[in-house]
This record gives sequence, structure tokens and C-alpha cells, in this order.
Amino acid sequence: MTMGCNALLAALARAHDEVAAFGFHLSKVCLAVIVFSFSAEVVARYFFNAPLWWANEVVSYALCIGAFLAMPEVTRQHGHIAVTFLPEMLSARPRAVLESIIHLVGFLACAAIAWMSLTQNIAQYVRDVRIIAAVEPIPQVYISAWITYGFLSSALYFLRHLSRRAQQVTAVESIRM
Amino acid sequence: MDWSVILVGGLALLLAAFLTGLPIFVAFLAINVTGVLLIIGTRGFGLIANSIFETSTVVAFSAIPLFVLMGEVLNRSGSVELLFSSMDKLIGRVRGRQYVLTVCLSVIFGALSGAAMAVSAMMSRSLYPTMIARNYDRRLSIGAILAGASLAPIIPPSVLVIIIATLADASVAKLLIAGILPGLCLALLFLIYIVVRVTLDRSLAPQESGASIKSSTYEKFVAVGHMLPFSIIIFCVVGLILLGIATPTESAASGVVGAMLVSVINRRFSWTMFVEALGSAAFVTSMIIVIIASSNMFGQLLAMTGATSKLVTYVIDGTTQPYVLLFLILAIVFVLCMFIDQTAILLILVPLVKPVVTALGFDPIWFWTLMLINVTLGGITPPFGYTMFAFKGGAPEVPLSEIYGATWPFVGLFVLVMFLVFLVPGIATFLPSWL
Repeated sequence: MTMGCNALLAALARAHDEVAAFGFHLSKVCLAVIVFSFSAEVVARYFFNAPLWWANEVVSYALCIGAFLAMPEVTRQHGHIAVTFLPEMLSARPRAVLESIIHLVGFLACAAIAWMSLTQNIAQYVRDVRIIAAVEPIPQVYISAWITYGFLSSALYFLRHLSRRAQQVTAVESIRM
Repeated sequence: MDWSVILVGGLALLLAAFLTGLPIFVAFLAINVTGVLLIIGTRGFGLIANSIFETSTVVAFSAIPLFVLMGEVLNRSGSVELLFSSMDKLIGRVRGRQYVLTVCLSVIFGALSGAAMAVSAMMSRSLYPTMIARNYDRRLSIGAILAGASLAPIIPPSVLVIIIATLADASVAKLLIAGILPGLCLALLFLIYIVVRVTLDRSLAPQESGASIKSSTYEKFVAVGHMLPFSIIIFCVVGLILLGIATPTESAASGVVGAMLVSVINRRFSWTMFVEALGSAAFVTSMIIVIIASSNMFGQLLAMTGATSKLVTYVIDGTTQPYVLLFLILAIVFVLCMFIDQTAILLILVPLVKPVVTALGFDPIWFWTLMLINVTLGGITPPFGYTMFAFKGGAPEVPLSEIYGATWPFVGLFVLVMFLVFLVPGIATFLPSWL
């Protein structure tokens, strides 16, 4: 029963990693879209006197979508900026406890924001809220849903970091005993 | 609750959360969610979600990934190495030539890269081993590299300028251009300091000899030829803004295209390299945008409680000497930057300081340039500074204590330039006045 449960969790973790990796690849595409949009805008405006009506809007959407598509991968790699010089001064045991607390707070904060954002996504969808754009108003949920994805997936990574840390601590304790 | 208790309590809680090692965005979120619950209740949760959405769709922030991508393309394509060897050929027989080379390269890297960490990591891997191999003084070598790398956020392009100008509602273009003269002043002071030190103590720099420092006129022409394509990037970033052809974000995108063009000219471009550069830039962008988006609500909460407006009234009523206040603000930033990440400090302090600066009637470009230099300095003030950590990453054998000791003389030079900009505001405001 436990082995079956572990196998299921491992498969879910693998699927989570694959989704995060795919999202990260898409965030590179978003960045390429930003480069292309603004470069094309400069060329169109100054060489053809025909400014691109969509450039600013596409860039703002690509920035938001790209940042939150890449967020889970940053969390997976422990890449978020943190001030770590005080925790690094601690000895192994209190440091492990502190790191567990950090992962727990990270999970709670990201899960809370994902829930708040999801609530907003549903409200935006139901009320058909659209982004006031210069040219073509689009449903806000098309963009804001990626914020929910970023925080939800990051919350799961914090939970996985917490679980891994707890397993390491338990393993060290059992070796000592 | 009294506004001062809210303000001091909020800031103290946030700083304490940072020091526990919590990721900065998590610290902001935890404090914001708690603050919203206490002040507005669960009705306020929608505000947090909206604040994240509004902040992460600000077009001006798109310059951040573009400046990072530009540096990544140059670095990964190996174009930077070409620049390095070309500059090496142009510097003649001078005592302490590796120090001089470091400072000169730093100015050029400053105009090609928007982040000090990138330059610091690059020079610790390339220049530093050469300096040690040639018996240059370890401490002065480290100091020169770290100080040189710190020119990157001051000389445009600059990721920090985008953050400061957007948060402070200042002109991004003017603030970018404002960094040019202070950056050059810093480089000049570094050179003077190095020459004086090397003249007084000859053991700091051995007299170099051999083929490496003897370049023929032809070789020098070739070196200049190799360096010329890099002017395309400088023109794309600074030139297009100065000529009024492109906005800072558009010039950043043009800079990326320029960097790709330079690597094509140098026959070092490949799509694999470009995709890797995109990945690296996407990673860094996500780190920064998530922090900015998570922090925005903190300033809004302080404004909602009336703490910000009361702070401004309190400061204005109690200040007879605006320059004393200026000194205090800069001193607080200097001390906080010793312990806390620069971006986090900007996200906390800029919304608080902005109304004070407006009320006191300071020239915004002058004031935010001073803030930029001050915050950049935070990268090399011990014990916490990413520029130093990036150096350590590239030269792991160097003890952190030695890195700490190496930076202090250059910290003094930074403070001196801040004082110069304070006394002669034209150093910061002259070039932006052309725009």
C-alpha cells in the first residue's frame, strides 16, 4: 500500500517537473516575443512610419505570462533571492529546522496567493472582465490565470522541498541513533 | 493604531523576515497577507491579486529581461573574450597595467551589461587568475574588479535604473543617461587611486615584460577593428535614447538585436547559444518580477493606513535643513544595503521616499542618481553584497574576509563621488537636460 502510494507520488512529482520544464521553455518564447515586438516596433515606426498597434500590449502580456511561467522552475532550483548569511551561520540542526520553516512559510504564502488569484480568475471569467487596451480588449483571465499557475506550482515545489528536507533530517537522526 | 507604530512595526517585521532567510518575495507576501487581513479583512484579498497583476504587466519592466539577455548573448557567444583580448593589446607599458585594464574593461562592460553580478562573475574567472599569475597584489586586484563591476548598474544599460525610475515615476530615459558622467568620474577616480597606490608601493604591481604587452601598430589597428562592432550596442542602447528615436524599452530590445549582430560579425553566433541565453534571462526575469509584483501591496498598505502621508507631513514640518534629511536617507540606505538585498530595499524605501523628495523640491534625476550610486554600492559593502558573492563564485579559493577587506577603499571612492554629485548636481543632470 505504502509502496503503491510512493510510486504514485513519484509519478506525480515527475509530471509536475515536466510541466514546470515545459512552462520554462514557453517563458523563453515569451522573452523572444518581447524582443521581436519592440525591435519590429522601432523599425516599423522609423523606417516605414507605421507604428505597430499591438507591440506595447503584447509586451506587457508576454512579460507577465513569461515571469509566472518561469516561476516554478526558479522555485524548483531554489533560485529565489534570499538573504542567507544569518542562516548560514547556524549549525546543522537549527539550520535544518529553519529551512523547513522557510519552505513551510513559502508553501503557505504561495498557496494563499494562488487561491486569491484563482478566486479573482473565476470572478473575471464569470463577469467577462476585459483588459482596457488601446486596440483590442481581451479577457483579463487569459493573462491573470498564469499568475495562479505560477504561485500554485511554486507552492507545490515548496511542499516538496519541505518533504525532502524532513526526510533528510529523519535519515540523519536514524543514522545517529 | 498610531501611524509611526504601523510604519516602524511593518518595516521591522519585513526586515526581520528577510534576515531569517525567507525568499524575499515570500517575506513580502507573508507581511502583505497579514497586513490586509488586519487592516481590511478577507475582502482585501482581491486587492493583493490585482496588485500582482497590475505590477507584472508594467511595460517599463520589460527592459529588465532585455538588458539581462543582451549581456547573456555577449557573454555566452564569447564576444566578451574578444573585447578582453583587444583591450589588452591597446594598453601599453604602464605600471599596474592589469589594474588599468580592469578599470578600462569595466567601463566598456558597464556600457554593455546592466548588472554588476554578471561583470563581477565574468572578471573573477578571466582577469583575476591572470593578475594573480603575474604577481599582482591580491587585495588590490579584487578591489579593482569589484569596483569596476559596480560601474555596470550606473553606466547605461542598468536593471537597477529601470526599477528605481519605474517605482519613483521618474523618466527612465533621463535616469539611464544621468548615470554616464558619474560612472566615468568613478572610473577616473579608480584609476587615480590605483596609480597613486602603485607609485607609492611598487610591490603592488610587478613591471610586466614579454610578448603580452608588446603590440605592433598593426595589432593595435586589428584590436580597434575588433572593438568597433561593440559600438553598435552602445549606439542601440544610449544613442537611440539620446537621439529620441526609441524609448528605453525599445532601445533595450534594439540592444539585444545589436548584441546578436555583434556575435554574428564575430562569427560566434549560434541558435543554441541564443536559446541558452533566453533561458538564463527568463530565469533572472522571473526572480525579479515576482519580487516586484509581490512587494507592491506593501507600499499600498502603508498608504492606506495613512502612514506614508503622515510620515511626509512629519518630515516636512520637522525639517529645517533638507540636506540633513537627504544625508539621513542616504545613510539609512547605505547601512541597510550592508545587510539586505538592493532590490528589496528599493521596493520598500522608494514609495516612502518619493513623496518626501517631491515635497522637499529636490531635482528627481539628481536625487535618484544619488540613490542609484548608493544602492549600487550596496553590492560591495560587507557582509552582504551580490557583487562580492558573484566574485567569490568565480574565485572560490579567495576567503570572503579578504574580499571584504579589499572593497573598503573603493567604497570610500564611491562615497566621494556621491559627495561630488551632491556638490555639483550637473554631473548627474547635464546629459539628461539634452533629452
